[in-house]
This record gives sequence, C-alpha cells and structure tokens, in this order.
Amino acid sequence: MARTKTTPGPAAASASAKPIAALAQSEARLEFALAASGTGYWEMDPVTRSLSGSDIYKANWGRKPDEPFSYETVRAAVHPDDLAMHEAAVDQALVTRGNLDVEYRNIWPDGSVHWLRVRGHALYDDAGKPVRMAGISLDITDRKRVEETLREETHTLEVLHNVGVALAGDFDLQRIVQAVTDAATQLSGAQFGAFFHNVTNDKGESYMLYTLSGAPREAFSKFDMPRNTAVFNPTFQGTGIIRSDDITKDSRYGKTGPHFGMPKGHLPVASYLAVPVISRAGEVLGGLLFGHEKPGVFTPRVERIVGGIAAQAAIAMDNARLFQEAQNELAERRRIERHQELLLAELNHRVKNTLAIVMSIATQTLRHSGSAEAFRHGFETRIMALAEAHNLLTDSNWEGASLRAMVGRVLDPYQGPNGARYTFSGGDIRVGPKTAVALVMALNELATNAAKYGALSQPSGHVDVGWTLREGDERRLAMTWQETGGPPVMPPSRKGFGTRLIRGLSEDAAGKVDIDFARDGVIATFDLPLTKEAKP
Amino acid sequence: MNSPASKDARPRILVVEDEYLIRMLLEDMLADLGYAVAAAAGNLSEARDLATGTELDLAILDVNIDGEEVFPVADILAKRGKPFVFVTGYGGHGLPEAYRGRPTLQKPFQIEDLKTTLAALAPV
Repeated sequence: MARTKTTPGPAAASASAKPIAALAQSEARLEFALAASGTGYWEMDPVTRSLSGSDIYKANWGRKPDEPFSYETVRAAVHPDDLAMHEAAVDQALVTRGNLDVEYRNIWPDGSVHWLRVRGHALYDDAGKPVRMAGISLDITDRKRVEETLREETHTLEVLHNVGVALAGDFDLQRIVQAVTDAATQLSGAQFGAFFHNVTNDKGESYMLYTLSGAPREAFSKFDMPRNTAVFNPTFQGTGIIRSDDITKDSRYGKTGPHFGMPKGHLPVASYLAVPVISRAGEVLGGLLFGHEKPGVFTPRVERIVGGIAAQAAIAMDNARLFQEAQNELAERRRIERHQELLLAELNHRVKNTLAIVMSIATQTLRHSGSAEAFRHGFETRIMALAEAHNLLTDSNWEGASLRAMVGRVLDPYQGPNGARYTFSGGDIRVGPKTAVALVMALNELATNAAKYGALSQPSGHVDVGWTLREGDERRLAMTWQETGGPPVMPPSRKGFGTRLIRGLSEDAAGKVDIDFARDGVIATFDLPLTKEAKP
Repeated sequence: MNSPASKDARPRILVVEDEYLIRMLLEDMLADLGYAVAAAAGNLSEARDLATGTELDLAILDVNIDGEEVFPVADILAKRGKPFVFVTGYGGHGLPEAYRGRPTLQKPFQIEDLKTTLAALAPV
C-alpha cells in the first residue's frame, strides 16, 4: 500500500553563495547521478502547481520526453485509491515544512499499474511562504512486486502451517476434511471447493461423503456424487492432478452421459483443479475439487500448494483412521474379555451344578441299592446317561439335541446276536437342552429296568419307541415306550428311584408321563412341551 | 403342595431349584434333617406365586433359574420378612448389593453344610 512520511527538511538553500560555474558543474554531476540511478527529478510551484520534470520522471509515469506533462497529468494518473493520500502528503509537507516522502500507484497510458516513490521538499521565502517544491521520483514496481509475493508466500506458509498444526493434533475425520477443504479453497483462490472422500461404515461398506467450502450445501445436494467420467477418473483413481484454465474446453470434458458436462443448475466452472488424496499405503482416500467461473485462475503455484495440502490431508486421514481402528480394537478386546469372563462364570456355574446333580444321583442310587455292586452299576449307568446327554448337547452348542440320536445312544448297548432288539419310529425332532437331559435320563432308567426285569432281559423281548410331534398352540412331543416279548411284568413293590426320576424329570420339563406296568410289558407314555426354553 | 398335619411342628421350607435332580437331593436332605418341604418350584413364575401365597418359615433359592435370576422371588420373601438361603454355582459374586451377606450355599454342598446354614435361621 501507499505510505507517506514527513520529516523536518534541511535548512533552506544556501546555494546562492556558490559561483555559477561550480553550480553548473554540480548540476551536471547531479543529473548524471540521477540518470545513472534511474531517479527522476521534478519541480513544482506550490501555489500554481505548475509542474516540470526530467525525462526519467516522465518515464516513471509512462510518458515520453516530448509528451505534454502537467500536474493535471499527475492527478489523472495517480491510482484513484491513492490520490487523496498523495495530495494530503504534499499539503502536509508544505504546511509543516517537512519532507515529502510518499509511495503510490500510478496508471500508465497503456493501463499498466506501477509503483512510484516520490520524495521532495519546498523552499520558503522570508515570510515563510513556500516558493518552490522539488524532489525525486523512483519506480519501485519491482520492489513492490517482490514484497507482495513475499507477503503472499508468507501468508501461504502461515495457512499451510496452521493447517498442519490443526491436522496433526486432530483424529476427528470430519474436522480434518473441513479444515483441509477450507484451507485449500482459501489458498487456491477458488470460488468454491469440495472434498469428496471415501468412508467405511460399521459393516465395512465404502461410500462417499463430501465437505464444501465457499458454497452452500444446497448448491450441490441435488446432484449425484462424481461419477465414473473422463474428467473425474484421474482424481478418484488417483492417477494425477487435473488443472485446467477452462475445463469446458478440455478434450475430456462432456464425454459422458447423461449430462455430458456439468448437470443443469451446477455452479458455473471454468477454472478447474482436482487433486487426488492418496494414503501412504497407496489407497485413494478421496479428491479435492476446486472451481472458479473465470478461466485461468489456478496457476502452477496453486497446484503445488493444493498438492501439499492434499499430502497433509492424506497423513491426517490415515492417522485418524489408525486411531479409530486402534479404538475399535481396544473396544473389541474389552468386549471379548467381558465375554470370556461371562463364559468362565457360566462354565463354573454349569460344572458346580453338574457336580450337585452327580451328588444327587449318587445319594439317590445309594438309598435304593441293596449292595455295593448294585450301587456301582446303577450309579455308572446314570452318570453315563448324563454324559451322553451332555455330549449330544455339546455337539449342538447346547442349543438342542436330535431325538433320534438320543434314543439311539440309550438303546445302542442292547443289540442282540440277531440284530437290534429295539425299533424306533418318528421324525427327527430337535429337543431343547433341559428336555434332552430329562429324556436321556428317563430313557436310560426305562432301558436299565427293561434289561433287569423286562423285555431286554431275554432274547425274545423287544422294545419299540415311537413318537409324533403335535402342532397346536404349542408344539408337544408324544412319545411311547412299549416293551413286548419279555417275562410277565410284576408291578414294583415300592416306588423306586427310576420311577421317581422319570416322573420328576417330566414334571420339570412341564410335561406328563404315565408308566403302566402292564403284564405283557411296560408301557411309558410321555407328553412333553417343546417350547423354546432358556439355556441351563 | 402337601399340607402337613396341624400337629406338625417342623419348620416349613420353600425350595426353588430348576434342576429336578438337585431339587430331589434338597428335598431328601431336608426330610433327613427334620424339615418339612412346604412347596417346591422349578421355574420363576411358579416360585413367585408360591413365595407370595405359601405358609412357610424359610426358603432355599437357587440363584440361576433357567438362565434368569431368582432375586424377584427373594424380594417378595424379604418383604414378607421370611428368611432365605441362596444356593449358587457362581461363587460369592453375582449377588446384588441388597443381598450380600445373606447366607449362601455353594454347589455342590454336603448335608452338614445345609444343616449348619438352616440351623441358624430355623432350628429344628
């Protein structure tokens, strides 16, 4: 910008004392020095503002030596924004008897803008009235340009630095992409900028989001995401930067339907810059897109700056992703640990429960056993039946067991020399854990009893197990155990453990059981609900 | 369930346990120790009804009933001022703040453990 400064000037001239020849020589020297240093010289009458200047001075205003030049020329050529300041500086120097030192812009006849530094001071008569004002002029356009560039570069560096600092400390993806979009749009001189970036949701699906700067969201919300077109491909496939002074004149533009160019209602874009954002692993994270309605806005320098921002963005996004992944991993690990603790507690519970059940079986078997041998046999078969039930359930993660497999396991030991001494009929039904344990234990009691006193105690005997599923308000299992061909059945003299166990287990499964000690063979009829039951 | 004779002076006990074999063990042990089983339940809704409406002196509550916690039943008994004993395979943890310090039997348990625990609450 223009600046002005006034300082007290030297005492009024005492040059009149010098001899004329010396003066002429001195003037010639001065003129030489001025010409050599490219400095213009000017003189002005403070009252009439009549102005004359050297050739260099005129050249400073873009005028040839023979062109007419007056104070009016100056007034017309000084940049309108600097004119008032220029005039005030001259007035102030005259009033304060100070130095004139001012920098301002002037517009040459060819329209180009140049910077001038003008210095001068006035001579005063005895009454203190200014009689003559003189000074020098220097074209400082180059210096100003350097200063401007420096200021611009400094500003750019500051913004880049601020972006870097902001990104380095942030793991929030949304804030990162907004900061990147804002900074890049500001530095590029774009009217608007957008950052289209790929994100992955919880299910691992990838989709695209965008962040805007310089334009309201409504300006884009009615359009689809950038598609697979010749213009967008290099960006979203990460093959390179596209910088175009006028994208509508680019050979790749308008080649893909349905829009063949920008969709209707799109903000006008001539200048176009698109930079892919690529992670350290080479994955395309997204693309930074900038637009301006005027052509030729994005210079190679802008391309370099935005390229730098894109690199920083990639690192920040990588970091944010790593951070998020680490957080997810920690959460997952905590979840697994909690799950393991639950599993251990559940395992502990089941083991203790099973030990209590084993204890109950031992106690009950002992109460009803006449001898150590009878206890050993009764206890062993019951524990084996319990183990079989657990095996079947473990095969299915304790979600249920196949009824066919259950009956098969219990009766498997009772194969005769001529093949099986049992038959079973019924579809394969899955039975919940609690009912499964009850059924295996109950069938085991029936089989043991049959082997001791019933159909399985002699070769001619046979056991038939049949079942059907009754669908209704609730699914119920109807199962019949029927013995034939055994010795005549004697009803037990006292209620044995086996009978109590069968009844109790059935009751516990919210079902009913009927045991008929018919003379021709024992018949046990089960009626059990197959409702969805909780895991034990 | 069974209503004991009016002369029966044995303490009446409610048994809540979802495993029939363990319930059977408890019932037999209680009979051996001189207690009367007032009622027995293998699921929560039945246990709630019995805890509300049965004449009883004390209750034995398995903590895990078919995957659910027995504490709603304990709440009913606590409101009635009836003492109870927890039975659990989970160890001492798992009990809510309000019930810490209540007598607890760890599975598996011996008849002597049951005897000592019950004697403190309802001597025979």
